[in-house]
Amino acid sequence: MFIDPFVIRSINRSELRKRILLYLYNIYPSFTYLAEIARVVRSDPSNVKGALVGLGNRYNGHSSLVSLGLVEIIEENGFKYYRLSEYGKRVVEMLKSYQSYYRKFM
Amino acid sequence: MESLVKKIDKNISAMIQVAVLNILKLGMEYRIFNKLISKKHYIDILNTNSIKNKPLLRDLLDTYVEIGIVERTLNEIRMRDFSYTITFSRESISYIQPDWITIFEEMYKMTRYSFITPEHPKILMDFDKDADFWDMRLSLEFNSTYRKLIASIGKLKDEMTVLDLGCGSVSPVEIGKLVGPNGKYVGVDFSPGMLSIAKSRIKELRFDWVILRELDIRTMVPRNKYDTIIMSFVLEYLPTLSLLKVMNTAMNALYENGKLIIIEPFRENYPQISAWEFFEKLTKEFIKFPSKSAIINSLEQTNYNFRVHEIGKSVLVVEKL
Repeated sequence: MFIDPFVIRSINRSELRKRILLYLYNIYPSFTYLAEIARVVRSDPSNVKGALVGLGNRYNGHSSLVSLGLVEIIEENGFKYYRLSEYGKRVVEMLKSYQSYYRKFM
Repeated sequence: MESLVKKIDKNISAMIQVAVLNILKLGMEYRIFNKLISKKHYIDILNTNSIKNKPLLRDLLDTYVEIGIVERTLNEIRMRDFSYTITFSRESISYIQPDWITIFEEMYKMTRYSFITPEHPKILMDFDKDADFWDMRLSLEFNSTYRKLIASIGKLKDEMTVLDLGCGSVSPVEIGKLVGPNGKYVGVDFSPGMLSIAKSRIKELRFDWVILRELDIRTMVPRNKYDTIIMSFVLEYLPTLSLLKVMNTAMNALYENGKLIIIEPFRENYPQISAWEFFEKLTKEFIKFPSKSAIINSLEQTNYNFRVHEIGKSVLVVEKL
């Protein structure tokens, strides 16, 4: 499974997206809802929604975690839940092993 | 082991086929072939083309000449009628590990950026600046397959000692785990970026028998002896003149009856390898894939007795006697 390095580098530069991914990685394969993610990553739900799916003009939908294929949405009884995809899990594992490299070289 | 050897050889052959198709695509996309329909002055082709990176265009034209798409006299150049056949056998297809195809697509895109400028930020072929991209390449199924083959040839197990020359970021984990906890794996690489990724993995796995050193294999002097020495996809970054020195270093560091395992697409076994080399030259240290004969010649110039076993088209095992 090829992972675009630009995707990993872009996530590495975005603290909120990184925190969301790490939280979803920690609870994988479980899913959770938006307000819970916002509470754990200590951010506003609208910011978290922006990072997950994009939000109006403020966030670019193309670089949202769902558009990048890192997070998948599960709909149940009219509610939306979020879970790390298999690809997202691999990206987080790569990101973790590149942390010290990125600190020194990027 | 036979299946692993076939996987390596069949995938390398397929990589070269894809690389040939990719250089043909470049020729059409950038209208290089259109300009070469009639005989032209070589300098005119270089100067009238929209490609700004002239050294890369020169490399591409040289590759066309080597593959037989284009003929060149001293000053003139012209396209030849060229026919290229790819044979897909059911047997070959069953060995293909397709994850390298995306890497070849990425290298194709990077070549386009390199046509604009060799310093383009979207070129990810530098061992330090782009160690993450290299790590992804080294993590491919194909690369894991040749590491499995190395393990099988070297009969690697706990308590053995291994020196890996040009270890990169993945071998220290995949090869290193086989010789621990009582053996020793020493990985040498000149790229601090690659080693930084390898070190973080080794630390997390607590492989304290794995030692990583930032060294140039052309100048290193190993103090210890090893059961197995590995050189996988590293000789293409060495100038031909350094080959003797490196072979001498390896033979010196090997125990008697120890094995030097070399994995490379030996150029005499893969006639159109220059197509693949064209794309690998996006890495500034890349020179060319080695020939089996040059390696054996260098070994013969060392003062060591040895026996060489050829396995398939891409593996040489040198046994120190």
